[in-house]
Amino acid sequence: MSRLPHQSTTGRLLMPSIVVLLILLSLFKRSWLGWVNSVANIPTAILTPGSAVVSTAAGWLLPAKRPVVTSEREKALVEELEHWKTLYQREERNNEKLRKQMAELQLGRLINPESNITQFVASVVGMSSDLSSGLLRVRAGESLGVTAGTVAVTDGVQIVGRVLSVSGPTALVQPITRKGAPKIAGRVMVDEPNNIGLQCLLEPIGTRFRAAVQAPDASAANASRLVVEPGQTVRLDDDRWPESSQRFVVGKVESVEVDPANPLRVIAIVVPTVEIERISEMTLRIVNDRGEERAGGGGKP
Amino acid sequence: MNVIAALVAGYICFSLELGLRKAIAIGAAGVSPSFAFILCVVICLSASPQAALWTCLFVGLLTDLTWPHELVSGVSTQTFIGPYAIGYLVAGQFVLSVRRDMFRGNPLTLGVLCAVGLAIAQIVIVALYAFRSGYTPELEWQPTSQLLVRLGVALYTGVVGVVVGIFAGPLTSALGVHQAPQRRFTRPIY
Repeated sequence: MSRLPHQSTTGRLLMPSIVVLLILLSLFKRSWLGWVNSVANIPTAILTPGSAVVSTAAGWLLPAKRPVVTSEREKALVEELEHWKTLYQREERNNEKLRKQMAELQLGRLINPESNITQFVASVVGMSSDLSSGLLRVRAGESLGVTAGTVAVTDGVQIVGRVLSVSGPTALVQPITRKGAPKIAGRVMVDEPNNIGLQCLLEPIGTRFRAAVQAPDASAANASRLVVEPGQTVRLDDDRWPESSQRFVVGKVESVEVDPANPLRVIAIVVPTVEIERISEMTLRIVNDRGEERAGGGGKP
Repeated sequence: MNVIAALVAGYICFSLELGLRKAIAIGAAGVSPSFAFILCVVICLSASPQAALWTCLFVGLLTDLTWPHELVSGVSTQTFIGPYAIGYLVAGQFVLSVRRDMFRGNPLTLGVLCAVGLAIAQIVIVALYAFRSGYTPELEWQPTSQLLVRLGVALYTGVVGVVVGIFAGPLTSALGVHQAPQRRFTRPIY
């Protein structure tokens, strides 16, 4: 290291001391570094306004790709259709759940009260600084009721991800497609009008999912018609997620292939209906009813 | 070096880095350039060694602090401190050691130094995290894939560095870093 002649002893020792300290800190056990999260909130809070401006500008210039619609009316109709489909699917699931709950009630258990959801739009203000990380930082904090596990959606029903942590005025959302994110149980809607779907386990692989689809029950009357095809919708069917998010859209089947290791199993590539990593804002769904959150796996991703 | 100008430039670079990544990322891995590191190299090319190394350390520390890791459990994040600071410091030392032999006026110089310097920094970072992952089971770390993505990041940063290199003259003037005139046939005696 070059050294200036007028440096004092303290000045000469400062840099090596800091380097040694940083090496030690970089190797400390995780349990000794709990305080770093609080310290990290300071630069994050300072840098967030700047990155929010750039992120918003980038969102205007390079918007996320969405399905092509020719007119505003068509767009509204498509959104309405998806909305009603979701409501229908949810009611179906609720009915099924109610039947189970009635049985449980007979055994002396209580039915959970209906959920109470608060929704608000949060803008994406940036990502984490590491170049290989895909977490999205949104402007929504504890004051708005955001907690770890809060579900984020876009376009009304497309799941974006879940909040991983909240620090002051911002929160970090882990996209569902992010490699390393937890696997999701879903349902490929092979016959959506009749609400028939095949269970699948979706493994995030970056910007899409690799879904292992369970073969239909061979004894079912219409088993031969239950074929997974590109374009079919995949919906959430995972008890680890809040009840209010069940049957939301995870994505659409892009391609299908037979599992070479198991010819009876189908592997589908599922793509979200929107480029999750490039959206500029998302809707956060806050469950006010803690009971439901507990039912959804403790509200944690 | 004008510290206030450097702070403003650093703020702009971090804003670009955090806000622009999703828009200019390439591929499924999301390879995107590091604007903050380009600033480090610009300063390392012209500023005094002490100022250059302190800048690298500071920028690296900020990068560490603005990167919360997802833990394997998926229920929380943890910020680790040190790897980026050390990686950037090593890269800064590398730039300082080779800058005398470089044509600083050529935009390609900045591009090449950004690519090579960041590759060195990323090797240090991956090595430190790989070591840590050995006794931190909550941290999922795959050194090979991480290194490949990060070398892609270094290349992308090099390309952006060439573009920034075109404006490096006015930038160094604004930052107030001294750029000694280069001698073509002799080396200065230090």
